[in-house]
Amino acid sequence: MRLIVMSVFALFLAFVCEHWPIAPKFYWLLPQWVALTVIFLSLTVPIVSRIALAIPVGLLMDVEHLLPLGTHMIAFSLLIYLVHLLRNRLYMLNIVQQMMVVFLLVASYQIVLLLTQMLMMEYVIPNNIVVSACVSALMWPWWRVLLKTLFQRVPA
Amino acid sequence: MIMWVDINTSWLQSVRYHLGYVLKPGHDVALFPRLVVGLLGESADSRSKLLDDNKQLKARNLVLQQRVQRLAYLEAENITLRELLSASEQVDDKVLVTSVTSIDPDPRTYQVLLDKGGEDGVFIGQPVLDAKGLMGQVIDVLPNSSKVLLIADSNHVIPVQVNRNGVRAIAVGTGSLDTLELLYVASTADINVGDYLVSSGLGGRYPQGYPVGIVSSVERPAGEPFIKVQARPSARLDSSRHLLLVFRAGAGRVPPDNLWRKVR
Repeated sequence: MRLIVMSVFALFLAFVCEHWPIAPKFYWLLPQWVALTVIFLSLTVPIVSRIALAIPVGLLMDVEHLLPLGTHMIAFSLLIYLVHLLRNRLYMLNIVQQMMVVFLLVASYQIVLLLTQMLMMEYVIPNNIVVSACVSALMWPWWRVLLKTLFQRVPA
Repeated sequence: MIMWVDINTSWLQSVRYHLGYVLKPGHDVALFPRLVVGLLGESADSRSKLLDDNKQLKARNLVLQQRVQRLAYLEAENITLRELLSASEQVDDKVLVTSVTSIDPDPRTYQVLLDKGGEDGVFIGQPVLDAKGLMGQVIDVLPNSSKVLLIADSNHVIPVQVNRNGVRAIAVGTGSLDTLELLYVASTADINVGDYLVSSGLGGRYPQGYPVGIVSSVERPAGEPFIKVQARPSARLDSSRHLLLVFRAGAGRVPPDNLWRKVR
C-alpha cells in the first residue's frame, strides 16, 4: 500500500514539474519528467509499474498535452516494457552508463510518440528529440536521488 | 483503437473533460509559487482593498476597451450600411474576463492556459481577445481551465479583411509571435503597409470586426499571381495577462467536433 501511495505521489510530482511555468526561451530545457518517473518506478517498484500503469499515466499525459487519448499509452507501454527487459542490467551500470541508457529510452519513447502521432494525425510538428532526451538523461541522477530519498524517508 | 475513436468521434470528450479534475491539483501546485508571491505582495489590508478596487477597474476597463476596439471598424461599416439602408448588426457581445495562468511548455506550439473552463461556460472554438485585439481561440476545455491556440501558431488560420476597403484574405500564423502572413492576396489587391486588418467573420468562428493586425510589409514579385503580405498582430500575444472570452449571441458550440482536432 505504501509503495502504491509513494508511486502515485512520485507521479504527481512529475506532473507538477511537467506543468511548471517556464520562460519561453528555456522551453527546450524541459526534461521528460513523467517518462523519467516511469523509468524510476519500473526499476525500483516493478510490482507497481507494470504495463497497466501506462493506461492512467498515458491518458493524463494526453489530456495535459492535448493529444488524442491513447497516444502516450503506446509510448509508455513500450518504455515500461524496455525498462523491465533491461532492469537487471541497469542495476549493474554506473551512473554515467545509466544516463546513456536513459537517453536511449527517452529518445525511443519520443520516437514512438512521434510515429504514433504521424500515423493518426494530419499535422505533426516534431519535437527536438535529441535535446529533450539529452536534458532528461542529465536530469536522471538528480531525479533518481530525489525519488529514492523520498521512497526511503517515508515510513511504512 | 482509443486514438481512432477520440479523433473521429466525440465519445471520449467527457473522459477527457473529467480527467481534467485529476490534473487540477497538479496545476494548482505548479502555480502555487506565483500565488504565494501574489499574496505576499498584497499583505497589507488597506493596500489589498486598493488592489481589489484596482483589479475591478482593470476588468471593467478591459470590457470597455473591447467595445472601443470595434469603433474603427464600425465607422467604416456605418458608411456602407447607410448606403445600403440596412439595419446595423448587434455589436454588444457578452464577454467574460479571464487570466492567463500559464503558457503551454510545448515549444512547438503557441498555446496559453486560462483560469476559466467548462464550469464557467467556456466552449471549444470560443474567440479570445485582449485589450488590443484578437488573441486566438479555445481549443480544449477542462472543468476549471481551458487552452487557447494563439493566432501566431503555425496551425492557426483566420479570415480577415482590410478595414479601409474590405479586401478579404486569410491570415495564417507563422510560428513567430510578431508576424502573421496573408495568403491568396491577388497582385491587383489594394493593400498597403499600415492597413488595419480586422476579422471578417466569414469563417463562422470569430466575430466580425475585431482587430487582428497591421500590415507590416507588402512584396509584389513580378509575374506572380499573389503578393506576399505580412502583418504584425494587434494583440500583445506575449505579454497580455488579462483576456476576454467572447460569448456571441447565437454562437453555439461552433463547427464540427472533429474540426478543432485537425487544427493541431
